[in-house]
Amino acid sequence: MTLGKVLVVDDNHDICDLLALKLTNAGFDVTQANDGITGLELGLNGSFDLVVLDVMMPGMSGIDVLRRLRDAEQTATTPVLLLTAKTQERDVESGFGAGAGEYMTKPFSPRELLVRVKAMLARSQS
Amino acid sequence: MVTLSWSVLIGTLVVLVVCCTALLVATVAVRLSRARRARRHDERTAQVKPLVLEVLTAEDEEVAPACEAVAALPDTLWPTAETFVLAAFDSVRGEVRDALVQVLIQRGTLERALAATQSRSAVRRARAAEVIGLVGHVSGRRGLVRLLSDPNIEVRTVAARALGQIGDPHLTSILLDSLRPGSDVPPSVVGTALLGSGETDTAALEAGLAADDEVVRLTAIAVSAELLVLATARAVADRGLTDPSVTVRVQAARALARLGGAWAVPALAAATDPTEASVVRVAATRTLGEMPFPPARAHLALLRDDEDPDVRRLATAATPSRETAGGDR
Amino acid sequence: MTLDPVRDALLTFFDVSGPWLLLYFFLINTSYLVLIILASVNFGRHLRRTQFSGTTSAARSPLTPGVSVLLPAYNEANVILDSVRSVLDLRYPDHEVVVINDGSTDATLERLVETFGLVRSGRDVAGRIEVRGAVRDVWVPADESIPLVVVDKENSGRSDSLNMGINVASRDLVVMVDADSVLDPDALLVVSKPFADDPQNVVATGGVIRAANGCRVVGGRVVDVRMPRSVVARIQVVEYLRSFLLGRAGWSQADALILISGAFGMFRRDILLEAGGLDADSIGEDFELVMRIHKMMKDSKRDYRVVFVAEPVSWTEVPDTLAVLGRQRRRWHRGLWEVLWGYRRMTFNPRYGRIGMVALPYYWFFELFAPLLEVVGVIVVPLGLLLGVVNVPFAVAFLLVAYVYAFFVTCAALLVEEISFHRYARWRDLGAIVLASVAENIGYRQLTALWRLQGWWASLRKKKAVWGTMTRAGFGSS
Repeated sequence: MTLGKVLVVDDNHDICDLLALKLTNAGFDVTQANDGITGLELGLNGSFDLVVLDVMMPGMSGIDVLRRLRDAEQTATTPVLLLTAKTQERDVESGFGAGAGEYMTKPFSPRELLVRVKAMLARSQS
Repeated sequence: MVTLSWSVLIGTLVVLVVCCTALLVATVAVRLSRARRARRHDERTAQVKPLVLEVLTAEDEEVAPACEAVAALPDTLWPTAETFVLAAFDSVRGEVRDALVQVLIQRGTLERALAATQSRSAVRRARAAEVIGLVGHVSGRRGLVRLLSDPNIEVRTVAARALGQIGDPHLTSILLDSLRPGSDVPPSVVGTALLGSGETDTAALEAGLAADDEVVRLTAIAVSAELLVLATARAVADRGLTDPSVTVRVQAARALARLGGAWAVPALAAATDPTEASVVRVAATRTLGEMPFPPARAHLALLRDDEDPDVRRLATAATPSRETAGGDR
Repeated sequence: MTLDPVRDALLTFFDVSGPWLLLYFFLINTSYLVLIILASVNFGRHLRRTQFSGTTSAARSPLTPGVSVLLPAYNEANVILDSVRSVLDLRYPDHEVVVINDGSTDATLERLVETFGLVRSGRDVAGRIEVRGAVRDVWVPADESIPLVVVDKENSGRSDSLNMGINVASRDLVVMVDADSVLDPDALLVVSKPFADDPQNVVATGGVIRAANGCRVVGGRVVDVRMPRSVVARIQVVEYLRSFLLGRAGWSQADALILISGAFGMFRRDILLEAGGLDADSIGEDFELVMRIHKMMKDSKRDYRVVFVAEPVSWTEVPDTLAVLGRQRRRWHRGLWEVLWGYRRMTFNPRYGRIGMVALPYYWFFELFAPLLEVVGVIVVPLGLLLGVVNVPFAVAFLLVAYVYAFFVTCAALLVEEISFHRYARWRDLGAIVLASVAENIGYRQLTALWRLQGWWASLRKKKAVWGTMTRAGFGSS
């Protein structure tokens, strides 16, 4: 009985594995993708409860994936957590402008991330 | 008509062919060796990674045993582990990172790096500085400060950056000092390092504002603005805007966008004087444009007809006339 | 025998200039070799530095200088969205994108307006640089967090559009890109680093350009690097490797860098304004701009540096048919001639330091005249051989010094590439590069030499025509 289906998209394999492991240990059913295009494809077809998305990715950036997810009906309201390395307000806003909802800057604390994910899911289910 | 002996020609041809072959063989050899190194690296990383990830994903009680597993890695795997852990520090923070820092210290990473700061190879010294910065432990401070006077510019730069990662406000004057003439440490690196300190040594910044060296003044202003050190605001306006150097005046005008208040308007208005350099006028106009105070608005209205197109544009954008509805977004 | 006069002419030619012909090719290839060695030093240092380059730190720092990316666009409706998005998504803490719609007749502007929710801003666009094309409007996104400005103007050419862009740009640094070039995510960080490291002196930088043909490009990013299919494009990969990687890095090392490739050059905005922007009438506009900056800085005796950053940052589609390639090469050589001639007073002028005393003479002698000697050599040597004027040893010597030596120089370039960036990872691609290096000497070089000559000749003829009309109008008429 999983806590939910989560999609993790990050081009850094090690970070992606780290996120996946943390969430799996916590009881989630995790799918991984290492680039934006695969991530988008999986996201659109996978009926995930939450998506963790890295911003800086070659091919298709996290913001781009987010925009397209929001444009599609089935994922328009899926909670998305953006992982951004920038600490500039503007980048964060542009993420929000595209409808992110939440972001975390890198470097991040894996425990905080888990707490955030759980909170976001709780909010979206209520 | 020149006649060349066949032996010379054949000789040259042979030499050239041999050299070409040698180069091509070398190219292939480099590629093969890189592939081999990559394979070995991948094998080792595959053994190290799960253990490190265990630590990074551990919850409270699990941390200690997971750290022990990493600390117990054999010497053959340790360099790979160390590299992997340090790379992870780029993306991870928190208690798990602190735990891994302890493991690194336990296995002597910091010790070795500190020893390497005395190495004869500049590359090793620079790498050592970087590692000390990544480990981020305050005991590495002294080693890094020594490297700020290293004969090699790369080493000095990496040391400055690494000190930023250790983040100690008491380092402010030392870091500013590393900008002395002849040092060539990029001011942006020192500035960023100073920002890493979070809190600031206000006295050191004030001293920086009055320094002899232009680059130091520049950096002190930029850092004061970013960290919102309001105590320096007046000095920035009074001394910065009248500094002999154009670059410093520009920086001061920009800084006042964050540090300034209504009191700064007269100084900024003076900086838009037509005798002033264009870059400074533009910067001052832009800052005034971001201020809601009536004196600023009034002055901007005057600048709407200025000769300099950039000044005009900024002044107009900031003060839409009452006639054009929604002329500004 | 009608061949006798030809024979005699050839005999005289070879008597006089035979050895010089050989010497020329020996020198030109040796100069390439020297530049490669200089470049290796440049690389060695650069590669060691990249370990500690602090790119991540710069990417997060608020002190990193702002960059305005200028994107002139003429009828680029197909690629403009990918292009703008990929530039907006570049890894950099503070940059804006200024698109200048050069009077496109297709949906370029419409697509931008729709996708980014642009609204008219009524902004005044007068600037310090005089622009010819009239501006129709300036558009900005309703969402202010998107750092995009679109200037819509009448068609007046790329240079004029870029000048408009310089006027409108709001950051300290300006970089000019083409709508169809593909940038590496860290491109801005890489090319702006010299400015951050030495803000007082650096006025212009340039990065390495690679051929995008054959690479897999997704969403405006190169995702997989591969050799192109067409032989013509493959040989250009080799050319780019050699000339950009080595020629530019070598010159930069020698502190005499003239040419920053137009597809990726970054400049300080205040310097550009002072220099007056691009010359819209010049064919070699990027080259001309850098020359003008050199002259301006040297004339005013200011300390300055033009730096080449030895890292691939931008990918561009190179011509893959001979027809398009021919047009390009003709244009390039024509531009080269016009700029060299225009700045002839700087040549051998000690006031201009290494630029005047080393780089410019080099370009005159080895870049401008090279196609002439190449074509002469290719025609005259076989002819001489046929007519018995030239003996076989000489012909062999010519082959050696002109072609085999050139191949050797290319092999050196390949080794340096392998040690440094090794972007072409597949063995198959390495094989393709080596084969292309051979093929380059068998037909391709000779063709490009011919085209370059044609371009040069066309420019000379046009000049004569211009002068012709002027004298007809009469200088004494006023």
